Amino acid sequence: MTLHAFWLPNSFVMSFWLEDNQGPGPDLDPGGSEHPRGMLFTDLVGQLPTELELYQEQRFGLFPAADGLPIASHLDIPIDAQLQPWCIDTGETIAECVIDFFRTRPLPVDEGTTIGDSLLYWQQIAEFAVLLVDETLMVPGIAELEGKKYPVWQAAVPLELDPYWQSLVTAMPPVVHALMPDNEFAATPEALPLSFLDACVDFQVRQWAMQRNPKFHRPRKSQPPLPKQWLDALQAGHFSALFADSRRLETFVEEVGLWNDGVRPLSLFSPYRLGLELMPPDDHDGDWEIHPTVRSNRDRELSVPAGELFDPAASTHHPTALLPCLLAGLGRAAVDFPPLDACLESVPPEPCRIDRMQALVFMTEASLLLQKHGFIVHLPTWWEEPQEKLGLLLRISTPRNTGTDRNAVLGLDQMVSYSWEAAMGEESLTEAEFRELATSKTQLIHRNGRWRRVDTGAIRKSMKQLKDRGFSGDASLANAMEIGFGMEHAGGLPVLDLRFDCGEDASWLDDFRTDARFKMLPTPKTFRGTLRPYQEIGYSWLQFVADAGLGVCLADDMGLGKTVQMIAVLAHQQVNKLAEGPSLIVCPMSVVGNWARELERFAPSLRVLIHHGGDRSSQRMFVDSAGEYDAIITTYNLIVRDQTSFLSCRWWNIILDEAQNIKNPNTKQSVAVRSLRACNRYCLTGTPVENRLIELWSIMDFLNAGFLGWIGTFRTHFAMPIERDGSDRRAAILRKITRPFILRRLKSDRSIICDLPEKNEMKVFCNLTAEQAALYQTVVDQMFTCIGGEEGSSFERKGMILSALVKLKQITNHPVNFLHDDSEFSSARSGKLQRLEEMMQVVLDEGDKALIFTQFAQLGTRLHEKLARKFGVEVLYLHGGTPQRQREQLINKFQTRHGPPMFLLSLKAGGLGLNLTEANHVFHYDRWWNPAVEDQATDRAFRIGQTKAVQVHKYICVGTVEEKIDRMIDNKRQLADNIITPGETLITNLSLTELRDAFMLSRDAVSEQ
Amino acid sequence: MISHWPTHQEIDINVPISVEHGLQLRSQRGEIVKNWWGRGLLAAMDSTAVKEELDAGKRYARKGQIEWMECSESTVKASVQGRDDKPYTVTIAFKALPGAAWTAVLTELSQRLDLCGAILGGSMPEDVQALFERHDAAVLPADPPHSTCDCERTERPCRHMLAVACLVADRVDTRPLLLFELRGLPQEQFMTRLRELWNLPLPDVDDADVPQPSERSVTGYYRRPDVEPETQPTAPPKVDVLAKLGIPQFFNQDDQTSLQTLRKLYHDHIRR
Repeated sequence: MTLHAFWLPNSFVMSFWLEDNQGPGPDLDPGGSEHPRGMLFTDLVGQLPTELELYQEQRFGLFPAADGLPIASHLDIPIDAQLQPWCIDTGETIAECVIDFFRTRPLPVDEGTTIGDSLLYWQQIAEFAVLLVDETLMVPGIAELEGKKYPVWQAAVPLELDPYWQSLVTAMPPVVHALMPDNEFAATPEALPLSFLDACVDFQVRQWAMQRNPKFHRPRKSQPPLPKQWLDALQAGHFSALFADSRRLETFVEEVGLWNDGVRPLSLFSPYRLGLELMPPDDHDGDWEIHPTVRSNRDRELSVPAGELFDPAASTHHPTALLPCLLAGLGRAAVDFPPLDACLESVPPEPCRIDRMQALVFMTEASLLLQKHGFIVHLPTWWEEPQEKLGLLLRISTPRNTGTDRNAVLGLDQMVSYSWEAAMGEESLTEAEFRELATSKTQLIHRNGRWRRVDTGAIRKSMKQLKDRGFSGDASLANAMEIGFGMEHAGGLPVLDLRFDCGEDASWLDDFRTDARFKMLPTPKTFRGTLRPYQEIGYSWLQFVADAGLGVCLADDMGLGKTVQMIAVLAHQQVNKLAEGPSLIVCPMSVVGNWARELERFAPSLRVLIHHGGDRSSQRMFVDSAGEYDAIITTYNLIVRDQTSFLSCRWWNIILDEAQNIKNPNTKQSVAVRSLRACNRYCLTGTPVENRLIELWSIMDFLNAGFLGWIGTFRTHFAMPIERDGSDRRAAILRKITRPFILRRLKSDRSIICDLPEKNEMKVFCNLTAEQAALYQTVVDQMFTCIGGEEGSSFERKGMILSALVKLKQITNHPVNFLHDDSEFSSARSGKLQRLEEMMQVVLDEGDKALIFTQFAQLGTRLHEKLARKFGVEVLYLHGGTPQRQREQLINKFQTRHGPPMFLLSLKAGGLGLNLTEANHVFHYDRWWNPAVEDQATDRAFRIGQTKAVQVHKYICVGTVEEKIDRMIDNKRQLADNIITPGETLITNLSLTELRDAFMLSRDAVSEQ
Repeated sequence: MISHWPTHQEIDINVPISVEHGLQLRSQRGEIVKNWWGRGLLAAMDSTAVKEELDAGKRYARKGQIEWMECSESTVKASVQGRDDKPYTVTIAFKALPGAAWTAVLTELSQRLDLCGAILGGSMPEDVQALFERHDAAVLPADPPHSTCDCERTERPCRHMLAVACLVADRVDTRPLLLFELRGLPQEQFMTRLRELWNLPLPDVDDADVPQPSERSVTGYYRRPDVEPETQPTAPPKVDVLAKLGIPQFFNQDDQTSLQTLRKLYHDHIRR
């Protein structure tokens, strides 16, 4: 037995029929009208699932026959067989049941029944429908069933799926048409499978609509407008026909068809379509041409120009159907776009010539209509591409700098001239060009060999508004910017940019490196060290901008050497006798020691005073002696506490290190810092200031008071639009106006990478807290008591010194590390910890990853808790007790791209097969005093496979034995780089005097006030 | 969901026996045809009709009383179901234009691509009529065609002839080439003869070379054709159907609710 299935598109019914092909063929009676092999409805029902709810029908169908008898479907059918009608007993079901049936694989048909190709065919289509609906590829339309118009969901088949759909259409077994020999569906092969596809789509959408809104009934009483009827019916779980008078109904059906045609399967009725290609002229006033072609629906590459079809030789390569398609297509297309009539005025047809105005109509309106009517329209690529933005520029220019008042070069109260200009993308237009655009009759403009579309309406509006308000004028910079912002959409055009055109005196505002006056300075004679190329640029820039009387901010990434660049400036000013007073360096407590050491190391000729600590000079002494120094280092806290001292001086330079300390403009220290008088102002910061708007304002206001206006104005003009509304334009303008004042290089910048060594070692000098200093002194005192006056290198003496060394190391780390108690592990108790936290914040801000080494497991545990809690990130911790398998897990975790950013290791890393190349920072929280061991640890990060430059930060407490040993090692290294003696050995061999010198706590060790 | 409605057999003796899937007019009210040539042809056929018969003929044609209709060589043959059990056979024979007239008309038409395009596209500018007249011919028949019907009514033309006349006019109204056929130029000859006039030889490729859905072949009647199926894309393209189609023009300009409803239908479906 073989099962066949037929889809009846006029009634949305699937009809099943069971054929008995095992039967004794020859005995059949050829005379009857009943199909001799047809089985009865009762036989059929048993073969199929009951869910189908089959009901009985009788249908006429056409079947291949020989000698008056049907040929069984599994046999070969001779070519001379004729189709003969027979009546068959069918089991039929309405669509909704049948889709579930076909979605089941394999088909739930009784065993022993052969599944005919017709069933497999419908199954393929049902599955395609499921795919479409899953991707929301359906569209509302109208189906005609039994003379009525029903709103239905139909299949949307995008171009990409069209080949598959076409192959489905071609794969249709003829038997599916058996029941409708005279039906008009037979005329278009696609129509039958499409009808079933649509039915499957409609059913699925409706089934879902039913579940979602089971009680939905379209209103019955009134007869709402057709669109409403249509939408209501689409949401219902069942079909309901549209009601309206027939003409209105016809029109509506047509309109819906035109609308949804854009996503319906192609080539329903014809394999060819007319193509229309618009070609712009090469100059402004030339003719535009529309070239007609014939294109294939099945082969998208095929496009035959009209002329070729009329060429006797070339035309023979194309099927005859192309010619009527071209002519009829042009005839119908001309209804949508009448100028196309011209194509058919001659034999052969000519491209149609139109003017600019008509071309615009073609591109904007006609093309849409034509596409809806099934024509393929090709517009120039630039039409579809995003257009260069047309808008206005506010050009701001300052009068020539007279050179008398250096601070007046730029400030919001500065009088400037402003003028409006129109611009297209990057290119500004002359006023004449702008006026021409405004009077242009069409929106199509040919400029510099290219066509563009411009909104002439908006141009005219802007023109009018500018005429009213004036194209140019004079105002304070603040007011000029106000004008720019106040006309966010100047009439019709957006304000694209503010441009500063401050004459040659300030051309550096755009890019200082191109400014004629910018010169690279030589490294100052007194500077001990070598500046890297980008540091030379930075130092020269700091000096150059200061010469222009402006305050600037150096915001290089951590590790690029901001301090060194600043010291070079100080050295330069000293050598060239530019400084007319001392410089004030304001920094957080944790880096006071660092500044002192770096100044000492790179510019020993500078006379430096560290103004902090309990024994700092009194106000009177300070004022008297300040002039004797080149640089005075102090902290933010003291700026507030000793404000009167600092106010009494006029500073040559004020340098704010870690300038994010004044991020809140209302704090006492910010106010105090802003009140200081200075000739040059500098800020150093490693955080990306441009993204923290209030911080940016505060820093800018310190550097160039009033430049960004009053804080309230700044909030309304920048902070709120950028942060709350995400205004990219405001952000761009802010970037633009602040850019000249901020130099920020990233360590990932290509030019910087070239300048950086692959491994960049830096010493981080920290201070002790008073608690640490007291503990330190106790341990040192105890040690000297124990060794008494003993000299030499006895084993006992060595032991005592080494034991003291370990204790001192622990103390410099953190008191907790030495006391081994549960007291608070706070950064207030340790200079190193304070510095580590600050630097970790930068690491996180910069999106980097760090390894932190310490040799004390107990400290490691506390650090681990502390860092994880403080930064709220996962901190990995590997120590001697970590089992091997877990070590691997930790390493793998760290090595994944978005793995945890901090990895704490408390062990002798040497000899371990660790590969931690994801890290680009290595922190040595305490020192091994053995360069070989430290290098081994560093090499975990610095290995083959490392793509980033690695920064190595070695923590050292100033004025302690740590610093002394560090110096000793450095000196030894310089003497004989290859023979490295561990620091411990060096120390234990010292004489008593040398020992006292090494262990003695120097005055600058402590940083507490 | 559609269910099968029982066919109600009309009991009234004065109405014709109804026909399932009969041929119907597209227009169910008002004028039958819209175009001048459709009107002209209808006028030629119904000018001598009695109003009552004409109304009945229209009613028949609208109801779908015509079981089938064939056109060949200027003659229309159709079967119309009336009140009698057996349907009537109607023929309408039009007067063909002489071959020479067609040659002259086609020769001029071959230089008027605009008219060719219009005719192929289903419309006929009035210029065509003028063109025929220049060659002493008329596109529309001047006299009523010779019609027959085997019914027993006395009125001529009878309602059955008029029903067919309406249907012919309806079909001709959108297919001017059918009018040409009734005037003696078989439809397929229109393009063939124009090609000759344009000196275009018959192409060496057949239309059949273009991939076509399978013909209804007898030998492979029960089989899916042996064609290489396109593989179904595993990742179908993401297409925002509504965005692609835009706002339906048939929504009232200020009808925001309809648009929102439509958007919501899609939106809800995506969130399903």
